[in-house]
Amino acid sequence: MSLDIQNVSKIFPGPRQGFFGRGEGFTALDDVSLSIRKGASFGLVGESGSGKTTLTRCILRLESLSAGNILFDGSDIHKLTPLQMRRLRSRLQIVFQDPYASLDPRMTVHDIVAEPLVIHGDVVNMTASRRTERVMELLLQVGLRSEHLFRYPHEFSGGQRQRIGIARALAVNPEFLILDEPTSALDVSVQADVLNLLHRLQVELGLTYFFISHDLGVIRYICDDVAVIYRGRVVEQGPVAAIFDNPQSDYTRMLLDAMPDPDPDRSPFRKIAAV
Amino acid sequence: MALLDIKNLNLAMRSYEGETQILHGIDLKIERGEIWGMVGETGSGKSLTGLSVSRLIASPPGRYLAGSIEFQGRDVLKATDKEMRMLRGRHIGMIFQDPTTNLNPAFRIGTQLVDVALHAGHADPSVLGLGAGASRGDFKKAAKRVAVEMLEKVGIPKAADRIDDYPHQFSGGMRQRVLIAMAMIGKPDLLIADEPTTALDVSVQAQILRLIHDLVAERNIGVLLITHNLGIVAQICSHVAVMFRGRILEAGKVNDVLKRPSHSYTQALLNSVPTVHTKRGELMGLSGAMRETSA
Amino acid sequence: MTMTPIAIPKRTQSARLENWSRAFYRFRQSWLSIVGLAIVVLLVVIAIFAPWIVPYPEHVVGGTNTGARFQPPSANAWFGTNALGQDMFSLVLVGSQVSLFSGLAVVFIAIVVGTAVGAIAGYFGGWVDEVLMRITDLLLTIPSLILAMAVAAALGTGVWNMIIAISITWWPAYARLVRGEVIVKKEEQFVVAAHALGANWLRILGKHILPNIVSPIVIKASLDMGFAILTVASLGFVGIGVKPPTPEWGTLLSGARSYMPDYWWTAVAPGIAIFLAVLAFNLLGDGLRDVLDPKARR
Ligand SMILES: Nc1ncnc2c1ncn2[C@@H]1O[C@H](COP(=O)(O)OP(=O)(O)OP(=O)(O)O)[C@@H](O)[C@H]1O
Ligand SMILES: Nc1ncnc2c1ncn2[C@@H]1O[C@H](COP(=O)(O)OP(=O)(O)OP(=O)(O)O)[C@@H](O)[C@H]1O
Ligand SMILES: [Mg+2]
Ligand SMILES: [Mg+2]
Repeated sequence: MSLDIQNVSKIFPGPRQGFFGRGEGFTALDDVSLSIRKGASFGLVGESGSGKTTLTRCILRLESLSAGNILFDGSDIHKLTPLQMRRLRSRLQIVFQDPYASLDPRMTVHDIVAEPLVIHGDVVNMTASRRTERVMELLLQVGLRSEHLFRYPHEFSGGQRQRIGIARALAVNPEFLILDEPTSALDVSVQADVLNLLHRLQVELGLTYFFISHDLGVIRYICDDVAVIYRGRVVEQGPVAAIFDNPQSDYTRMLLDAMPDPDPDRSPFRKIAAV
Repeated sequence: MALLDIKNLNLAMRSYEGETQILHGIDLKIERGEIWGMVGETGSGKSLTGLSVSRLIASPPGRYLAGSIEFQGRDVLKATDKEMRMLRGRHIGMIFQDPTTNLNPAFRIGTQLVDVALHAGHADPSVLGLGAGASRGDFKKAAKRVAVEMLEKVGIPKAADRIDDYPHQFSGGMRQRVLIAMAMIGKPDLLIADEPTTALDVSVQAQILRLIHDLVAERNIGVLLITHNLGIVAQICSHVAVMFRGRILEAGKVNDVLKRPSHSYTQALLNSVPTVHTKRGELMGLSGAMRETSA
Repeated sequence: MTMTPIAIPKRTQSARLENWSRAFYRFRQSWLSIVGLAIVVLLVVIAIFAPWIVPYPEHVVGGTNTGARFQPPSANAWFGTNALGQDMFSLVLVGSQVSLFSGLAVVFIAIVVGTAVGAIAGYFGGWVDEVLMRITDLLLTIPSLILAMAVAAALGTGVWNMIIAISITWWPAYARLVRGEVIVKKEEQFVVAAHALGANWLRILGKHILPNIVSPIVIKASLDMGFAILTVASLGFVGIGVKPPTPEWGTLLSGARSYMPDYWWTAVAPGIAIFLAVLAFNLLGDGLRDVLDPKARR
């Protein structure tokens, strides 16, 4: 099961002008083609606002395409019937970029993580108590504790919320996981845990990852292939080592140069760092 | 007199299970011209420390058990609400960790920025480049101009065209930059930035760091920068404090702490950053013993 | 990452029960909402048992005692007596039945209809929205008293006709409110997230959007309860709705107007009853908001 993104474009309509007119549209994705292999991790990096999240929304059919096709296992996602689409959603999960906005503030952690199990109840088929067990299992897996079970999202720190989001995405044992900056809110040690967890799940269950991150170090660590996107266009793609060690485009080179180095002596802001 | 002097801050938060102490005696002193980095595990209380400085934790559920937070010699925990509003708009700039909830989805980006600019301008017209006798119209015009300027400064292309967009039309990183712009409009003396660049790509991040750096250099302000990125700390911060479970484990000059960490947790953090040579699956997180005690 | 053996926390309460006790925990945080709840409960209890506890049940069904007209409050008649010598205390107690019931019914119908229409219009947008909102706007332009009179003329008077007549003009306000809120919430990430999880529109509306807009509805409803009681009263005054001798706060109050200020007690008793009911529902509304919106305050 692979994901093929073929010549996808997405143009957002411009602002309304007068009664019938519309301003010039905004091209968020411009002829993007990517191919994600089964069982591999595909990384996507690019400047903020370059269309990464928009691409994930297109994959999930939360957004219509202006042009192109997205094939999952050979079938066009945007042409599936509602029932087929629902089936697909249980195999295709996402961890959202913003851990604050993506959890329903009125639901307890238990209900949030159990939600996919309820929605896909016809496939998963669990009793309520079995669901609670599964939720606990997931929470422990991502490093949360049992006493968190019945709390509300606002009672958690950013990193804890992100882990709730990861637990929710893992609940129905998806085959394909979209991770939109899943670790940016985590401290590096928890990030290490989550990355290792993702790696372990991949080895054990053969998951496929579509991994978006601004942290090139993380991409390099977790991904097999990587694509660099700039203003809605893919400027470069290929195996991670090749791209990172031998970048072809100026933009990729610039990104690599801008990576903050954890060695204080190599800071471009020497004056202050030396205070 | 230090710009910010947090002494023995103890904070408890109440929830259904009862009250839990979150901060256990935080001590932190920030002078003008210093950029303090604050790193530490998730849930260790970094954000709550930052929010405490602008007194943005409601009580209940929050309750300060002991300690004081002196900003320019005045204890903010004892200040009146009116004084706090002045401080927040003008002297203490905050960049919050979550960009979405702090932008109102129902109002245009520009409207929200202009509001902040007007608030700051009424406290001190010079923020908008106006004299004391400026008219309402002048204020409005100047506020709009400053809003566009700030948006451009934080790297939103074609800022003047996008000022009428709603928050959901901005990407995560762009929303984050709007918040940074909001915090900087008032030209604060102290800037508290809670993970200001986590949603940003490295090039914009570098741009924002440059902006913060220049602000400090030009206006001699103090900065508290909460982040998970040790690279950022190494690059821009003069000092760093490492937090773990509501305590500051160690604090000091960046060079000392990052190069010769005196605490095993700091070392563990440094080890957790993947490098070019780390093999997949072999990244070290916290050691087992430490995880036992961590959240 | 090592796997820890999984220990499910022992739960003595079922999850549902625990949710309720959590909800009550948040409710308890403000004593004013407890006061509101207490008064509302008291009013409801009184309304239910009034016919059995009043001192002069015969006055309630129309009996008069012209010999004891306009007695000031005393140990015999706590709130005094009216022009017909009826015991005000008995009348006010039993009057709570019609007032509370019709107030509740009006608000309830308005919420149900208004929320359904507003939610569907806001969620689906497009022509569905256009059609539903045009109807809503049309009804909003009709003054409720006039419509109620028209309904009464067409269908005859009576409590139910009155309730329906008021509800017809009340639900559009809820529809407008709900539609606006739904449109805003629709864009929120957690709603998108639910969509991505595969939730259908009923679940998204029912589980994610509506629970998150309950507070404005509840707040409006708690304010409206007071207005509803007053509207019922005004209809009683113009002769639509409840017919004497069935007592009702509004009719009692209107009836007392001609005897002010000499026989002030005839107005004070129903007035205080209305005031208490309105206040209690407002306080209760505040408390409910805390329960429903854990983020808003604590
Ligand atoms: N609903 C919308 N209407 C108009 N423009 C939109 C809409 N959603 C996104 N955009 C625009 O599309 C572009 C791409 O946004 P997207 O969220 O995909 O960026 P991103 O690559 O995920 O960035 P980040 O790393 O900052 O999250 C942005 O310029 C954004 O303003
Ligand atoms: N409103 C609240 N009620 C109860 N507990 C809370 C509340 N807000 C935060 N906490 C708890 O306080 C602790 C500290 O939270 P804080 O947000 O300061 O963490 P943080 O260090 O900023 O973490 P992160 O890096 O993940 O953002 C966490 O364990 C969290 O669960
Ligand atoms: Mg994004
Ligand atoms: Mg935080």
